[in-house]
Amino acid sequence: MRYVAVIFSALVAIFPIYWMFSTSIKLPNEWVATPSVWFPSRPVLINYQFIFSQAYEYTIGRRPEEATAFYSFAWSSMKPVFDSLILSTFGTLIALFAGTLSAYVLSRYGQKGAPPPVFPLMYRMFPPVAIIVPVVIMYAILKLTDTYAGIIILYATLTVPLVLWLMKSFFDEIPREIDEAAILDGCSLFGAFYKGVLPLVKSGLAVTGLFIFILDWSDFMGVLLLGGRNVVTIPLKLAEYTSGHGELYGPMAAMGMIAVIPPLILGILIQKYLVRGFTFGAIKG
Amino acid sequence: MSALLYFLGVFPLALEVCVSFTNWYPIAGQQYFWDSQFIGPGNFVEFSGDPLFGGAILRTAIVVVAAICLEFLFGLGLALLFMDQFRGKTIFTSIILLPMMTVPAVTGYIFRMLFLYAGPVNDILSAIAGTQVRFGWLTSAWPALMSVILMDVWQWTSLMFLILLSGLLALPQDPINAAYVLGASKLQAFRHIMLPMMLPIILVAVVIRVMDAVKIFDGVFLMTHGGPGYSTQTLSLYLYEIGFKYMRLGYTAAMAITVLVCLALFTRFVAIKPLKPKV
Repeated sequence: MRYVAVIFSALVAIFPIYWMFSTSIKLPNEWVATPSVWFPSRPVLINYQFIFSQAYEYTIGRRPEEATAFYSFAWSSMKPVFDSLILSTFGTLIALFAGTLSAYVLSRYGQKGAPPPVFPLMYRMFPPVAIIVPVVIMYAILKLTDTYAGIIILYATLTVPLVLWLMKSFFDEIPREIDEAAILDGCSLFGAFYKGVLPLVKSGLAVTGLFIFILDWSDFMGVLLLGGRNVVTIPLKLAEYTSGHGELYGPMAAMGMIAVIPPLILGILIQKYLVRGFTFGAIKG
Repeated sequence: MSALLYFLGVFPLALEVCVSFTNWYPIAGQQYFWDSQFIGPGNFVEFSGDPLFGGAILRTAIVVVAAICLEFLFGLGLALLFMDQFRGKTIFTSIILLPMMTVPAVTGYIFRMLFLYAGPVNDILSAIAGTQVRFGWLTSAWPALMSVILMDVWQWTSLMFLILLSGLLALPQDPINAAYVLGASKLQAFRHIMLPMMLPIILVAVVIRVMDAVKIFDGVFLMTHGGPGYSTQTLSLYLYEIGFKYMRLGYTAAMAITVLVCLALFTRFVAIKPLKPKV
């Protein structure tokens, strides 16, 4: 019985992704055909070629200037993947580091059971559309626009409150007796945290890390206004596919497929931490 | 670190509050913020009478409430299913996590393709119902809103599932085992022991999702562009239209600050109060 529900959910989850995959191997005339094409009659790889190489059939029949524009447009497509990876990884690591330490302190030395502070979350509470203009002004003054460091700082600052909230509730679930036991065994305060409590919230840490990574990975507004020439990430590149040259569903789906892979790898890697029972038997009596 | 946080956090907010009291309108010659005139609460008065703004708030509220209820229920159900080991758990967990990992912009486009007249969703419905189903998902007001909700639920149920699952896994086992020993059934143990212990995590997950759901932009923008007429114009889209199409940045700032205050109050009283220690 359990399997029925699991398999049904997996099917629902994977169906749009299958659609993305099949769109990425379809010819242009099949993308939005009536009736819709479930499986392409002639799977082709030109959408991926458009992303990676210079050989591309879309330019057949176009004027030479348009053709060269397409080539340079297509060739520059590997950069977004690397830029996205750099920004997301560093942003996540910094946010996790700062947030987890703060969350531990808040959990143990704040009021017992008190909620985490709301103030740092303010920034996330309204549409970035409105807040982005002052941030751009500030960054222009600081000369941080279009740099890796600037966007990493922005990501880290925006996501530390989320880490705080999530990790604090995970830390709250661990009884304090474990800290005390670790200190009794001779650990310093940081040792009690690092060796005693941290291994117990591994699943929480993994979940938070994945969530923050995905948030940074799919961030669009930030890089739209703070990046552009030097820093190009995947969502920004996707936006290019959907303007200027008409709606290129195919290459966009191909890019989307590629964009799914790093978070997916991270998701598979963290699964070994989603195991029950780290506090099993930790407290006796 | 917290110095950086305050600097990066406070300065734009303060600037935004200042802007919301002006009538900054870059096209009409006030190129920089300091050129615009201070009009006091004029912006706030204006938008309290603006029907489009009220409509946008209402639509956003509908989407947020419906989507989060569904995400919570599905996420909880899935988390309970995935608590114990079973064959193929790793693979299924990876599959369930996939929706969260797609870029929202791509998701918007994919769902637009799915919901077309001759799209796969109609094909599936035709196969189930036996007759030709040609339901106009994106061409009428309420179905378009439903499509937006469905898209959000599809994408973010995995997040709820993940947070609730790790919350369930981190619960100390002793009280639960004690309950089983004392004769509680699984349902009773769940309702009376696990659910109350999970309350902080549930509230955290809901608050985080609410904050992100109020801001949905990428997917909705690309799927319906505001919907037939204005029917899927959520808050973010409305602010985008006012702020970047009509360039009335003072007005945008006023609306954004109001949304911020409302959300902060919501978080304070709805989500934090239950967590305060009862003295």
